Amino acid sequence: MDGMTHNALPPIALSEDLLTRIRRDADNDSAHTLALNAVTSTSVDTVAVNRRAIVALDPTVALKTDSLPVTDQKQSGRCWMFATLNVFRHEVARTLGVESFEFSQAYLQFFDKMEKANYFLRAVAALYSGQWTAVDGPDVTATASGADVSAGGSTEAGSVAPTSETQERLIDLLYQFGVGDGGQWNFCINLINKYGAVPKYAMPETQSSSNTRHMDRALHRVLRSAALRLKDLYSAGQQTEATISADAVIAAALRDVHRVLSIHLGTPPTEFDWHYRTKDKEFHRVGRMTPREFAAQYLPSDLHNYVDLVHDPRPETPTGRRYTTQAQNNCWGTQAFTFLNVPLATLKEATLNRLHAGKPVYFACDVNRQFRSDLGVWDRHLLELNDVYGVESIITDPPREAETVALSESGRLSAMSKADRMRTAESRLTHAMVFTGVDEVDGSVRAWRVENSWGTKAHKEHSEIANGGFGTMSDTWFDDNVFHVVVHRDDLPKDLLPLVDQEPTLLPLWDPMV
Amino acid sequence: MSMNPLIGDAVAGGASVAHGAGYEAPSSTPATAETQPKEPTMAPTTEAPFITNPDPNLPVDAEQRNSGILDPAAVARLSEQFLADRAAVTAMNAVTSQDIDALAVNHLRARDLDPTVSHRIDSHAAADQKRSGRCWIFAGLNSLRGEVSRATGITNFEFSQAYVHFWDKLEKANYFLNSMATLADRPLSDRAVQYLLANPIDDGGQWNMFVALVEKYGLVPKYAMPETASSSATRLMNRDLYSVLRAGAVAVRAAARGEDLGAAVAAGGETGAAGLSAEDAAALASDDRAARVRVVHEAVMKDIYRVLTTHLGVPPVEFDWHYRGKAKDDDADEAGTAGATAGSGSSAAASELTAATASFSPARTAAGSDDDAAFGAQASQDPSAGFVREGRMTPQEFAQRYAPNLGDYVCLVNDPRPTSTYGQRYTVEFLGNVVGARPVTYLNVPMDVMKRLAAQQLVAGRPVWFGCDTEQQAHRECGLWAADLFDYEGLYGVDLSMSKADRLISGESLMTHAMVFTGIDIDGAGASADTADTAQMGQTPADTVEAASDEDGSATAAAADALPEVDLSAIRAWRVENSWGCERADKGFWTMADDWFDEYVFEIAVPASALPEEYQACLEGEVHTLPAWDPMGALA
Repeated sequence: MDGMTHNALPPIALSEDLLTRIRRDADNDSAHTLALNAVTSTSVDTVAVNRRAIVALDPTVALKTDSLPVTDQKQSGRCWMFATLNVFRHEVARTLGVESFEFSQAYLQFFDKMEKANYFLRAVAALYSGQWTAVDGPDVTATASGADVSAGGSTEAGSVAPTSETQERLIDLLYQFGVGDGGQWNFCINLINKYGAVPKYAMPETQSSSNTRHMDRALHRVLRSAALRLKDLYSAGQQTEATISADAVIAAALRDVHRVLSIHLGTPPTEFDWHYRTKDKEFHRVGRMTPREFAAQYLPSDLHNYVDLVHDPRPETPTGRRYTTQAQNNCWGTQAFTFLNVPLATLKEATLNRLHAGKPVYFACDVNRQFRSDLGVWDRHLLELNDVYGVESIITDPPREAETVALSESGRLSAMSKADRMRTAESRLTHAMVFTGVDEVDGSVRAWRVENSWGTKAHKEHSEIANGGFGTMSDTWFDDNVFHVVVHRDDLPKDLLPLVDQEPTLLPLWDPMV
Repeated sequence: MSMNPLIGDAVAGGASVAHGAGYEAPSSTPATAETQPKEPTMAPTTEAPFITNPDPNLPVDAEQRNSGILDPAAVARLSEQFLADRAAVTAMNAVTSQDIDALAVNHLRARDLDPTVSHRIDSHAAADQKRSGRCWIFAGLNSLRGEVSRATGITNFEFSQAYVHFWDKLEKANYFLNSMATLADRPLSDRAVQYLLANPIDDGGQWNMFVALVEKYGLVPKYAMPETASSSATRLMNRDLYSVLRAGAVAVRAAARGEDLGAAVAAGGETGAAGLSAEDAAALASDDRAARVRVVHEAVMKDIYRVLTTHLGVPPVEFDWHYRGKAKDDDADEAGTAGATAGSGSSAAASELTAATASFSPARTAAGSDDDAAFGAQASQDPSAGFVREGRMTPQEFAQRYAPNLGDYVCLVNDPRPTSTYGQRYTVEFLGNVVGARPVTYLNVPMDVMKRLAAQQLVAGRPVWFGCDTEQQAHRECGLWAADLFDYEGLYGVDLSMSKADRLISGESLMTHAMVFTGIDIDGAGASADTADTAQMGQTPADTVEAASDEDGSATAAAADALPEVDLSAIRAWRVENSWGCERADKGFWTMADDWFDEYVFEIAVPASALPEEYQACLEGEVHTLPAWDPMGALA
């Protein structure tokens, strides 16, 4: 077998003998025939659904902080931006006494793309010129130990010395991500800090803000073309001359990016008229405002006091430590995304503290696991896939945080621990949403109320999503699939406070937590 | 307007935050075309001495050039200039409310790309892969179905795609587990390991993978293994297969690394009480890593088989082969009638008929069922007319009969990257499906070689499997590709040009889709209406071309297997059988302008014997291995 010479193990072909044995396993099982008949003609998620889990996740909750209809990010990857703004908009609406309120997502989207374009070009130039660590090296003093997470090779204090292999992998990833829609809480905070915010009417959605694919196609062509020019400059010329030319290349590319962005999203306002009508039909005219003035008035002044907590059970990334990464950012010159790893119980405690204080909580998860988007329900056992297939390898029950078990007592393949799901790319950060409520019974959580940003219609079908687009999540699903929550410092258990300001450990850009 | 930060730590770690001292803030009055001067009034008063291009319009503050931080004031100035440019504002007004592809389409180019071609060999309706990534299987089978129709007289024959799909998934799962065992000594975060884990058994594939499946498992007609809910919409099936395979990767790695395998080992000690045979239990408890891997591998494959059969059903080991073909006598009559009808119509239609090797009329291609539409009248007179029962057959026998020569085909790519060499063979690490089959290999050839071979096959009446980047410059409704079908540069006012090599290097383009060429339009080569009238049954398109292109009529009859000469500069367009159903384009058949072929076609499969001698020699050459993530490893 070509390319398979790394290891002395003999290759295993799918022989007649092997095929006979795997066939016998299924053919001797009458339940398998039944499942086959059902699933060949309808969706497995219809066949596998667990009615009891749905009934148990009735959406009414004791504690509810939201008061507005859901938002809709449409065909874009702006969940993180919607989620961050959704954390704050309910309070704005209450303060103003208005029936509905949204910040303009398109306004921040414009600057997010512009900043990402600059970041991409700066990062690529730094990597090609050999100045990557000097220019962008985040404020770190240590790298994670262990071959599995190291960014590569030994490091000097305060910098990372990547091997050419990891450097190439990083460059390829940057080319691949480009100025894609994705992001995190801190991206949105960077943008608000620098550009402020505007109400939705001051920069409304456009065809492309809601459908970013064709806009990104043009942006990526401009940026990748410029990046290749930078590569040529630095591989050919002298460093100083190359830097001069590189500046010109970057500046010209950014002008093109601005043009493409403006054509797709419109140009962002530098100021706007701010007025609103309250629920009591009372009209208020505040007058001309800049976006930064608007943000200063309606968003918290201590956005820097929010802390990103994660539950990462991998032994190679111990809890009680802060982590960061290179190149997971939008605004060049700001610190990359950092987060503090804590035990699951601590993560939940902080989330509950925040909700009890009446504040919604941003979180990031792997959204499509054990989920029916039409029902708006997440539960570890929503889809009994193990039962449908007659396997044990899909749902981990009882759950395991980190222990690897290859085969179960019955000799069947075992499902993975949360740590192994992360390591194998089975679990990924695919979506950010907001906890806006919780229902606790006898000291344990029955249901988490979730504000999504997928509107009120089920995808492609035109049926309504249950509960107006607000989802309901069981506590077991939280255990399995929630990775990040963002809370305020005040919500942290006291013993965590000293950890929040420690120097972060560097994770590579391809780490599953990133 | 003050640009001073309102929020304290606006840009942590940055130098002076909002903008450089050398700039004034832009006017807060929105610019209009009338008041906005061509040159902005605000200019930098200080510049770093090394700046050679001190264009004040560029969105980077002079003071910040070293820091690289984006200057909001400079962005605001760009916006003012933008709003002063009427063409830009018009573009903005249009694009903010409509999809850009509806606005940028090059109307004249689209108009000139009509689907009529001088050489057409298809005579069936396009198939539909639906929401699956099985294009390469469809394309492989589509390249064979015309031959079956010719041999049997079946209208619209289709092989079962689900059958090939099933075995591909099962073999890919097996292949993936082998790769994981091979890579067990590397950390899970290793690039190749992560690349494979991200998409353990993608729907996509390659020509060599298609051949490997047909050679091992054969083929069946569509009715012997029909489509299921999941064969046409693979997302949920893949989700669950991936869960099993990633768990399998962890387990196989543990076995190969000599690590603890968990509960089964302890329980298995009791004579296989754990559902394992005594032999397997002993293997698990042993130090023999190969034996441990074998047991774990089998446990994973059992689950894969369960998930796969649940979604796709169980593939047949044999089936009844019977069909209703076209009665032989009707052939000539029907074709003759159709030809005469077309001849009295447009000359374009007539030339198509002349070129077609198919012995039945394109007018019947849209027929839904071979029983109903084509044979209504005949069948009512003789209920058994055209029915043929071949009896029990295995899939291997079926393939032997209807697709005997797949092993002769080689895959050619056009990879113009400076790091790749023409005449060199390539393979991609960890790319394959059937363990033990011939590996996926490509011979890199210049574009003119690839194009000539494709054209020669078509003129000789043989369809050509190919791989391309289908989304580029593509008009889905009309089924057209042309290199400049969409004028994005004109609409944006931005240079978007990039070479094919650079597009590959930067991830802008790679092979995303496989289809089949079923025709070609060669300028001056098409038959005239007169030729159509006198065309003899059995005349090959090659003869037509020889006759048409050889003006003094001195051409001697070509040897039976000699390939026709093709003038590359005379190629206008290529006809393409897609697998996206027959509702759009020309009943599902697309038209590709010749300039698009240059830019976005990457791969074709042709018989090795068709290659020019110098490239035949290259087929014996050493194979260079590309890493798993190389764009040439992209699965169509």
